[in-house]
Amino acid sequence: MRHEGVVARTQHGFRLNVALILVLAACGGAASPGEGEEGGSGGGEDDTGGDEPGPGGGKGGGDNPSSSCNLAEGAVATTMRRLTIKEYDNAVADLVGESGKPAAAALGEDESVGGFASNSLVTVAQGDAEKLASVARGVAERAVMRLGDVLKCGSGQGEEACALAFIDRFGKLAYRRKLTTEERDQLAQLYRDKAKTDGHVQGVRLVIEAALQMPQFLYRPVIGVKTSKSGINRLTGDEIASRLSFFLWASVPDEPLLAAAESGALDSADGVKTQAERMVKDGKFDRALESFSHQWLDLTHEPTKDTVRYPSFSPEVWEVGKASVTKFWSHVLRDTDGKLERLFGEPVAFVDAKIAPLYGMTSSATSLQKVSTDAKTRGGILTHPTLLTALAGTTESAPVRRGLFVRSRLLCQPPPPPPPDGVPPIPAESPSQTQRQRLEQHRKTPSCAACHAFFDPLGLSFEHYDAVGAYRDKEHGLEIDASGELTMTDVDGTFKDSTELIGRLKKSELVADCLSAQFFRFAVGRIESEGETCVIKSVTKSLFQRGYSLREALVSLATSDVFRFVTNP
Amino acid sequence: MRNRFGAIDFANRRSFLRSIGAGLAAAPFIPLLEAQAATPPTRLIIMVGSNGVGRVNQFFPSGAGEAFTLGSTCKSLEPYKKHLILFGNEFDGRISGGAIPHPESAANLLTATAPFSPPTSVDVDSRNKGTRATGPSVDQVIAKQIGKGTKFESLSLGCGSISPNQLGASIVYRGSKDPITCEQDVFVTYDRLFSGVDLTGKPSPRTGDDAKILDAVSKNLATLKGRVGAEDARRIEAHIESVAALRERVAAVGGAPSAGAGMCTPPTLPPRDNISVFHPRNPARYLKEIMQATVDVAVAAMACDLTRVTVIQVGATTALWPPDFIGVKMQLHDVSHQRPDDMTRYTAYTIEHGFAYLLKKLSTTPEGAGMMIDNTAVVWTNEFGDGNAHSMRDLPIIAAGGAGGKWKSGRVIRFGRRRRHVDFLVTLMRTFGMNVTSFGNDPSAGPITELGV
Repeated sequence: MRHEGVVARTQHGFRLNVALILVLAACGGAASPGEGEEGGSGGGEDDTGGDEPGPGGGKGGGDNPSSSCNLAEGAVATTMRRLTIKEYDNAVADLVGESGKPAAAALGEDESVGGFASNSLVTVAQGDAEKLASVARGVAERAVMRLGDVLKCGSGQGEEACALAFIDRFGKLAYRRKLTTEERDQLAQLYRDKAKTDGHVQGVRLVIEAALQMPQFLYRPVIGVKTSKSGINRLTGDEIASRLSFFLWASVPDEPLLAAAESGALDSADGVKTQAERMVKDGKFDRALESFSHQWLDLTHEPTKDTVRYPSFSPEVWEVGKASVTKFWSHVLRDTDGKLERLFGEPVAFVDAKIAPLYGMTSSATSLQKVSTDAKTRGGILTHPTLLTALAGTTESAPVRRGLFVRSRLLCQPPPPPPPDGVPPIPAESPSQTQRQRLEQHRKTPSCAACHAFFDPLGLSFEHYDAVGAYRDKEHGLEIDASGELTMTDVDGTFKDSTELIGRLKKSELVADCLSAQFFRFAVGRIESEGETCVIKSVTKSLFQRGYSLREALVSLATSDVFRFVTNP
Repeated sequence: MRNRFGAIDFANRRSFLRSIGAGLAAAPFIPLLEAQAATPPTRLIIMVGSNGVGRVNQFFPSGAGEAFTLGSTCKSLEPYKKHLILFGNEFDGRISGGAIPHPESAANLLTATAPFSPPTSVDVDSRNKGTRATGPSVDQVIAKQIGKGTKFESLSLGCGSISPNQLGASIVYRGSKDPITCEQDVFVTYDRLFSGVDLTGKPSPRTGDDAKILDAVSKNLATLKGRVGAEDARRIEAHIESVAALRERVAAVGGAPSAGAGMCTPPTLPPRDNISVFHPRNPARYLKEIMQATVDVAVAAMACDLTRVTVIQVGATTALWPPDFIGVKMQLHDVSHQRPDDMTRYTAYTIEHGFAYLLKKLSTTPEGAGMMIDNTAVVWTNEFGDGNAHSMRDLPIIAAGGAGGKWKSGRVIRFGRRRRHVDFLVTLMRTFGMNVTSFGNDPSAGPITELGV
């Protein structure tokens, strides 16, 4: 399902990935014995021979991977990630109260892997050192204008003493661990030299400017310490703290999280669980939800629309729409049971005057307000106009892209790319044809239908939503046929329209498992290996029995072997 | 290599700066002083269009030798005919048996390598985003040859090169799987090139700060490098290099002004803060202004010998913005597939306001005994010929300029047979003194002897 293996012909003459067939015979033996609520590896037995004497071995889920999966199977190297643009901006907001999003303004686009910004392979190229320097300079200059808030010096504390205390506190948060003596001295020296010639404030400014260019701030290596299983390392407490905070907050750790790392609490799955549960209740969790949802749903590039035909769309509507998506996710994961059926079915939306027309509503609200929606046509995230706008062209819906989205992003069944040879162009848009009619060749020509039958019907089911996601009964005055059949899943069957398709998908373990995989890719910055797939599947399996709560999934993944251990092939 | 300055080592930038003493003010301007004594350096400018040229048959010239007529798409180049070296539709890029995905053509265009696409992608989109060339691009190879002693070994600039697949759409590569993205914001490029360094040579007020910070950053990078695996160590090394390059630029301190300062004036750009007049990131409305500002900056940088190699990308493969400036509301990529006549008009527009403008600047800027264009090798090309078919057959290549006396211009060169475009890239390298007969891993039939290098 996640690995494009051999393409084979099934008995139906379908060209299909062999792995897809295996998917249906769900990999049942992955769960480890004694697995409790946590799925994966939490609470399992310790392997003997764990040679880490450190504190916080905890009561299980300790020094070695504990799931019955072979984590090292098909091991993939986990490279060091550089902070993404969003992570950088969130970090400086947390560290010094910078609200201007300077990285988004200055830095080039992040490298993405599997649909999520990852920066795990890309190098700092020509001019990047300069950009990082110039961004750091701006942040530092603005920070010292808010000096009182940034330094938090006690009255009567001498300037140098205050600066050194700042270096300890700020340095720990920026480097995400306690500073070594050399690191502390390095920053202290920068302060002293500058303060001598230009005063205390400039000295502090230089410390901030320097720290934000240091590799300790910009990079997140995962090296870990050896376990008794060769080729598998356990992440250190500091590395877990970073991984957790960028996963659940899209930003740097706070003091309690770093304290947990320092005390050894993060060396055990239980310790990780405690922190993860705290973190998903924190307000900062919304940033991770925004980052995850906007990337998973591919909302990162503003689409262009024919605004003569669609006057209700504009760049402002797009921005509001994205915020509305984030608010929906936050509502589902915080205010409800947060299960998959909710994500795909909750009849609630966040609407203001700008975006209301796309919902067929009116509103005079100047900020997003929660409203009830019609469960049939506007239930859940998949009917959000912003998503359907992204999955559409300038003037028309994009059924093929919508179908590919369902297969790739919701089911993790990416179809193979189109053939290299002469793909004929699609007929031009026409007011006398529906989209379904326009795509007739996809059904009539056998070499097209072989692949297109797999995803076109799923995309065509959304034809009641136009190029800006507004609901329509007819297309150019013609009847819309949104019916089709879902195949190759655990919830196969026919559907009349997208509402019925979504009704099937929200009961699918494949969809739940795909979501778990997406969370992994978001957290780790690469595609999962075979061993990791096994662990992720077992996490999903135990959660799915109880409806697959997304919040629990996030916490379970964070406490599982794939998060706490790293393989070095 | 030593010259009449005696003990100064021009071998590489670092040893050069060291041997003239770090405190020497004129460090950025030594190449100008050198240039004063000798002939102006030869430069390379490559302008790259994207998504094909619309109707291919309207692009190429008719005629042969010095009696030729420009294709209608290129008619704005008429005033510069004597500077042009045109080719017919005889070049082919990467040929895989049919249509080539955009990231693969972009990767192949200047590297002549077979691209790498990650096998375990989750969908076509991710696969495209992960596609990379497997070797350096020709501009980078030439920059290593001729960029020593210039402040910036090369520039990679973009005009509306905004794509949902920035890295996969890259044209410029430092090495295998190592793309260099283009700078989109002409103001950022301007600041990088022209401010922070007072052209009279006075020290920047932040020089001391920057130097100390960068030294500390370098030290910490070196420490981290020792802890990580080989792949990550390589990435840290690239970061170290980037920091070191920046460190050298801030090493300049006060001293004598540039001898060539008269030629070296920063260009005037449109206003920074009035988006009803100009916005560098709104190509749908301002592509012409963006192209011209970018050309102004690049040409000025070369006149100041701040760099000798520049690649300017116009648009990007799979660009999503609409060419509103020609009255088309459809996204550019869709236009390339669905509206060939509009795509042709768009191409003509970029040739007129980008390439012809570049030739105008170069041919009217005095230098040495003639104009800048005499000492420049200029190239225009595109990732596709027929963008709708995703085809690198009939790959458009236009050369221009005198290349320091090496090229004879004002003609059409026809081969009477098909050639791989790598032959042209090989010829470019030979123009800059590299004795090669192959490049990348596309098979080359050798250099284009008609260009006489």
